[in-house]
Amino acid sequence: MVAKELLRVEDLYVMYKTDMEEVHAVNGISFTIREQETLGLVGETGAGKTSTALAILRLLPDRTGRIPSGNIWFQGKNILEMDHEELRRLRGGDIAMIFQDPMTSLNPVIPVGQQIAEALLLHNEEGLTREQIEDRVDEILELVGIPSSRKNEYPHQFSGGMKQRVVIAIALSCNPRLLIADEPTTALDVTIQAQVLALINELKEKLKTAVLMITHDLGIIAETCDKVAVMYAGEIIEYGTVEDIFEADKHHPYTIGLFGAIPKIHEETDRLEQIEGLMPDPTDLPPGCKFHPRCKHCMPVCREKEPPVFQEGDHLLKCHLFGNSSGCERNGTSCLSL
Amino acid sequence: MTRVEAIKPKRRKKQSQIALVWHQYKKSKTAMFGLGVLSVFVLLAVFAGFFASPESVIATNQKARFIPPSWGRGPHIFGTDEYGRDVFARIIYGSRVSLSIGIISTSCAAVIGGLLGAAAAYYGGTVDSIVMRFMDVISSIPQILLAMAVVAALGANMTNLLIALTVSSIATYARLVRSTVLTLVEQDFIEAARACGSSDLRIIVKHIIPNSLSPIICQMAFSSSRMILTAASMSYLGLGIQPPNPEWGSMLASAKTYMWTYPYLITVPGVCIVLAALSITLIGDGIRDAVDPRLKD
Amino acid sequence: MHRYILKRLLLVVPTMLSVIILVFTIMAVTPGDPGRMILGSSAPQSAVDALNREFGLHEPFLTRLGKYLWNVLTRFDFGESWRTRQSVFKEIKVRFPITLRLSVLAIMGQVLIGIPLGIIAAVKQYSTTDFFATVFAMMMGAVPGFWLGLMLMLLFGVKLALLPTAGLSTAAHYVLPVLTMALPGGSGLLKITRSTMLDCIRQDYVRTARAKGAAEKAVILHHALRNALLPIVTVVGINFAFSLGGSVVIENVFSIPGIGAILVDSIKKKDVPQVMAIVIIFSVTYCLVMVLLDIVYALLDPRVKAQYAEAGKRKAKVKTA
Repeated sequence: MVAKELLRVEDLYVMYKTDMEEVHAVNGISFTIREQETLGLVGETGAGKTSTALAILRLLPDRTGRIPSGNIWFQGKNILEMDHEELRRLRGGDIAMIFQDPMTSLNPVIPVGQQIAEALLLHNEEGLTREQIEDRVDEILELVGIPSSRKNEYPHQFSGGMKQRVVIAIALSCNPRLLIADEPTTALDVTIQAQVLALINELKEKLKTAVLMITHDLGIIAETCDKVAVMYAGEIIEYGTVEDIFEADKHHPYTIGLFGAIPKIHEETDRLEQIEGLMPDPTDLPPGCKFHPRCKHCMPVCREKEPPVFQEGDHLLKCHLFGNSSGCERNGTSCLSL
Repeated sequence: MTRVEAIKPKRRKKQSQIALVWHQYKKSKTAMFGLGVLSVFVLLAVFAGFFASPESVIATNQKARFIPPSWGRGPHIFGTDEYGRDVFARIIYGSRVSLSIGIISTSCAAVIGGLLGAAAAYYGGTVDSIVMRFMDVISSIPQILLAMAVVAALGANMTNLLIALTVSSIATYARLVRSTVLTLVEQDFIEAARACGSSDLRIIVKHIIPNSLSPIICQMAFSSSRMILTAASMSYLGLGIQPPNPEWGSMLASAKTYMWTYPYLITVPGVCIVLAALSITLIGDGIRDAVDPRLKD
Repeated sequence: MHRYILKRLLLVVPTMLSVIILVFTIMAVTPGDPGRMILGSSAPQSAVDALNREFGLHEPFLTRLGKYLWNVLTRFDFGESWRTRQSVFKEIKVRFPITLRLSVLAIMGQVLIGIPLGIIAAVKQYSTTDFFATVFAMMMGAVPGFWLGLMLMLLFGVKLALLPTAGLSTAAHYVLPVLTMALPGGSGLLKITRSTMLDCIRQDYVRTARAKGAAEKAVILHHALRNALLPIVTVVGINFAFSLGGSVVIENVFSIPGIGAILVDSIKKKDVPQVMAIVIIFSVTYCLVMVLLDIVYALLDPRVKAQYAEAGKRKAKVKTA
């Protein structure tokens, strides 16, 4: 039996508007996360991954960030229509987030124990007493592998990996239904990365939490995810199960490029294959397929028309190479929400 | 980008940097307003003789006392004071005093403090600790009190006021320049200059001073507006420019007696002080934002 | 931590000695003739000479400095006023508390004006409130305190006839002088509060707090403001020094019997011991406030506290991050 749907993002657009320019960060993406499922969102820096995550929690910068259209359904309610109080309960309670840089995401003047306790107090639906909350803080700290005796210490007394553990502890303290992990290991040493990742995996199983894993690292995707969405210039250009992405025959040229950029241990190569060129300027996106300026298989049609969605089972591809598949004649992007 | 393109801008750098700063500066309305107001004051100060003779702003005229501001015959646009002197003429001559106090004391403090700070940073060791300890001592006396102590020792007149203001703000510049230079000295081009056999003096004059200029210029703008305010306060207390010489602060001091009946006598010089200090601050803000747009909030 | 505070307090002593030497030296270069100043131009030269001898002015500079320091250190004796021939502390004892009270009230006023307005301006950046707050701060930064005092007197004392304008006999008398001292300083505090708050609001930990579900008020006051306090407190300290100096001028405007009046008078009459004692007592107060500031830093920021503890233990060792 298929698990219940938890989060559905429909045709979401995000843009940043300043006096000088408009940045089109996310351009009509759709995806679904079911309960206890882990979806990987992969792409280069600037592909719109973090903007998507911030949009889900409505944490986009007040003055510049805008969501001109789209819907984000969480357990049947539209997050974009929530009032302040509902949002406050959602954030940290139902959906928690781990940020990229643990060095800066903890408040330097508050002891870590208090920072965890704050989250518990803010979502104290069970009416726990002060002592019970303190006990819970100890418990959570031990859970993420920090001795509870350190709870009165300040962030500057912890190493990077330990800080990220604290961030994870804060995020998981209220048993969220969905955890958004925005490049949780990028800022850490390689050895620590594996530990933190293992911790997230372990806690995900234990607490039965769904995860939106944002990363540019395909290794992390292989290790943690059930489904994968590949983002490029604010669009999802390929979507499928981990098996689809890693083993299917058909791929978007960009995905192939991403894989080409990983060193393979069993093959001898002089240099890694790279994707020529840079991501398009998000203030001035090219017409047609946004990847066409860098694509090896670029055809005339790619320059003019936005590619349709090709579907094979759960595997979705947005590329002119594969043409349109049957049964998906609606506006291309929203098909991805299947 | 090709090589040629990469090198090109550098060759014109010196010229275009000022142009670039000006280009940025022009964008700020408040900064341009400051520049406009200050220009008016400077022009009035320079061409003061065109409006009134230096003698007439001191000479008394018992028949023309307390004429209220009017455009009519006279004309006394800011009225006349208790000795029948034209307030407008005194304001103009006062702007000479205030502006030159602002400029001279700031420049002196910047040069003396700057040299001390640069020497401290450049030589380090004993020189550094002696100079900086001395600066610590100076700055542990509240600024206006130090200025007053100097005036108390030397007596109250324009030169001594200048000395007092200079002495009391040397420490700021010494600290600022020292920290700027310390970051510069670490850099490779100083090493390179030394390796080429440049003398200490040459390195200071040719390399260190030009590179530490922009924070100093901003600081100078802020402190000259401070200086104008402090000078006015000192003159108001009778510890600066002495009457009957026209100075905004001392004009306010003598007008205080008549303020209840003739409020214009205290309004006009005060507004002038505010405008002068404000315009210089705005210019300083403008330069700071133009030089380093990151600091803008 | 305690050792650090103790060390800082002990360091005040050599600083003060240096201040005394510096001020003594400045006052010694005086070209005028104190005896003549006091007795007037008609007094016979012999009387002037006798007076100068009585002040010890015939002795060489170093001897005088040595004697002065000796008296200060052994007997805490700052000499006698040349005008009144009484201990310099006689007047200071009565008047300094008034000046201090005025300065403390002014600082409290500045904090009450500057910090809330600065926070609002930062939180509502580019709003009308922010615009007016910024303009207010800019104007007030350029207003000389004494003129502001005169204008407030004119407005509240005469035009509206609401408040008394001279002396300090009732609580109402404090309103105008304190306001005069609080507005310009408060504007500086407003500026720094606004800019540090703007900086802190954009920090990652503030986003973390929002992501936790904290209400906006808690995010601003609990998370952002606590981090912004360090530079704000620094400005409060600097402003206090300014208020001490500025009170000299403001007291004159409002005819307040504080220390300002005798300072100006002593300067004009060349009463060197009196001027010196006043400058020194202001400097001591200032230095003690700076020590207090350092302690407040440690209370506000655990990183500073750690640094102090480190400095207390091994002062020579450079801290490596």
